Amino acid sequence: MSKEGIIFLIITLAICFGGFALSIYLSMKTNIEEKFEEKEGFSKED
Amino acid sequence: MKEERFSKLGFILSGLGMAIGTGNIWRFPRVITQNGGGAFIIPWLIFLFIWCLPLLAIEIAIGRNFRKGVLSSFKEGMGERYTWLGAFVAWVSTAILFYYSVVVGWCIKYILATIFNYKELSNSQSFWLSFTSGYQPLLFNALSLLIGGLVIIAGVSSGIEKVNKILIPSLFIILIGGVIRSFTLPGAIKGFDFLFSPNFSLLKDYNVWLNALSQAAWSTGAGWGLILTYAVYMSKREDTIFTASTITFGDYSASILAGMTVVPTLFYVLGLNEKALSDILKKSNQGLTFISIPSLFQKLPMGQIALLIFFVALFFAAFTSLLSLIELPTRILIDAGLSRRKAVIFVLIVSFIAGIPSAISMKFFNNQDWTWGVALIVSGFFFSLFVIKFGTEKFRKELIEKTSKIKLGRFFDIVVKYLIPFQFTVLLIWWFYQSVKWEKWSRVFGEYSLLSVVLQWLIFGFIFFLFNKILSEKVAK
Repeated sequence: MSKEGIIFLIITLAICFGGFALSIYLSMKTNIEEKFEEKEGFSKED
Repeated sequence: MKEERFSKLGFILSGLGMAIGTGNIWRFPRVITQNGGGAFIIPWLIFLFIWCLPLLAIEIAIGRNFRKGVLSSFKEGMGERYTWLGAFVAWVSTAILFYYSVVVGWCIKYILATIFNYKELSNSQSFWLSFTSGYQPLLFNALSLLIGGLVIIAGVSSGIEKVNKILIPSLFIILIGGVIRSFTLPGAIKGFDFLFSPNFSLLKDYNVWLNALSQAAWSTGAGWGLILTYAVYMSKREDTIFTASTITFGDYSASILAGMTVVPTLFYVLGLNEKALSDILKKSNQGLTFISIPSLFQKLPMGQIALLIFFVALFFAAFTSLLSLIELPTRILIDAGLSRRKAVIFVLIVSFIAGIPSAISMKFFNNQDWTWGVALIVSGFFFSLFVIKFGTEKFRKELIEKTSKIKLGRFFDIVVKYLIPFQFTVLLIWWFYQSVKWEKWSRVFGEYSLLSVVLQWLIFGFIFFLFNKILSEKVAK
C-alpha cells in the first residue's frame, strides 16, 4: 500500500470513527435542562 | 394512550438504524470506487458538515419541540398554509417504504437461499431472474412488512428501541469482522490501496463532487422526516447537536467499514483485475448485490458463511431503516387520532398493496427508486424552507441552541439560507441532466425519464396543495 494511501486511510478513519466515538461520549455524558412545557400524550417518566 | 420515550442510548441506536441502510452496504462501495477512491472521500466529508449534520439537527429540533409527526410539525412550524409541504415530505418517504420493504424481502430470500440453496446461487443471474420474475417477491414483501409491523405495534421502547439495540451493535460487529477478514485475503491490500490512495486531480471533476453529495444525502437519511419522527419520542435530556453528529458520523463509519469489506474482497476474487472490477461496479445496486456478489463470494474460502454474513448484515441495515419508514406514516395517523395498532395495520395494508407493482416488476421498481430517491433532495430543501419561514435565527436560538451545549452561530444561518438551497438546485439540475442522457426525456412511462419523474412529483404535490385545508384540519390536528 502506498504511503499516501496509508496516510489517507488513517485520516479518514480518525475523522469518521473519532467523530463517532467523541459524539457518542458527549451525547451520553451531556444532560440538557430543558424548560419547555410537557406535551400531552407522553409519559413523564423521564 | 400515553406514548413511551426512547432512552438516550435507545434513541442514538434507533437513529443509527434509521440512517444505516442499503445505501451504506450496497451503494457506498460501488460509488467510492467509481469516483476515484480517496479523492471521493474529501467532498463526501465536506458534505457531512453542510448537508447531513445541519439537516439532521433541524429534524431532531423540530421533532423534540413540536412532539408531532411530519405533517403536524410543518403545520405548527410554518403555518396552516404550508401543511402540504409536510405532506409532500411524508409522502416521499412513504412512497419509498412501498418499495423498500420489497428490498428487505429480497434480503430474507437470499439469507434463506444461502443456507438452503447455496449451489443454485452459483448461477446467480438465472437465480435472480427466476426469483424476480415470479410471485415470490410478493410473499417476502408481505413477510418483511409483517415483521416490521409487529415491531412498530410493540411501541417505541418495547419494539423499535429493543430491536435496534440488538441489530445495530451486531451490524457493526459483522462489519468490523468483515474488514478483518478482507484484510487477511491475499492481495486484498491492493484493494485498500485502490480505495484510499487519493488522486487529487479528480477533485477538478464536478461529477465526483455531485456523486459525493448524492451519497451523503441518500445515505444518512437527512431531510427525509424519519429522524424527526423518532425525535418525537426522544428524551428531554438529550443534546440535539451531539445526537445528530453521532448519527452522522456513525453512518459514515458504517459506510467506510462496508467499503473496506466489499472492495478488497472483490479485488481478491477478481485477481487484482481493475478492469473486471470496473465492469462489475457499472452494474446497478441490485445487480452488484444480488447477482455479482453471490457468484463472486463462492470463490472465497468458506464462501457460504461469508455470503450468509453479508446478507445478514444487509438485512439488519435494511430492516432497521424499514422500521423508521413504517413509523413515519404511523405517527401521522396517530396525530390524526388513530391508535398505534390501527395506524400500523392501515399502513401495512396500504404498503403491501402499493408495493405490489414494485415487487413484480423491476422496471416499476427502478422507476419508483429513481423518482422518490431524487425527491428526497426536494424534501431536504423543504426543511431549509421550514427554518427560513420560522425565522432562521429564532430557530437556531430557540429550537437548537437551547437544547444543546454547542452554539452554532451564524454558520448555521448561512448553511440553511444559502448552502442547502444551492446544493439542492445544483444536484437537481445535474440528476435531471443525467436522466436525459440515460433515456429519452419525454417517455411518460419510462424507467428513468425526466417527464415521468416530474409528472409524479407534480401530481402528488398538486393533490397535497389542493387538499391543504383538509390535510390541515383533519390529519394534522
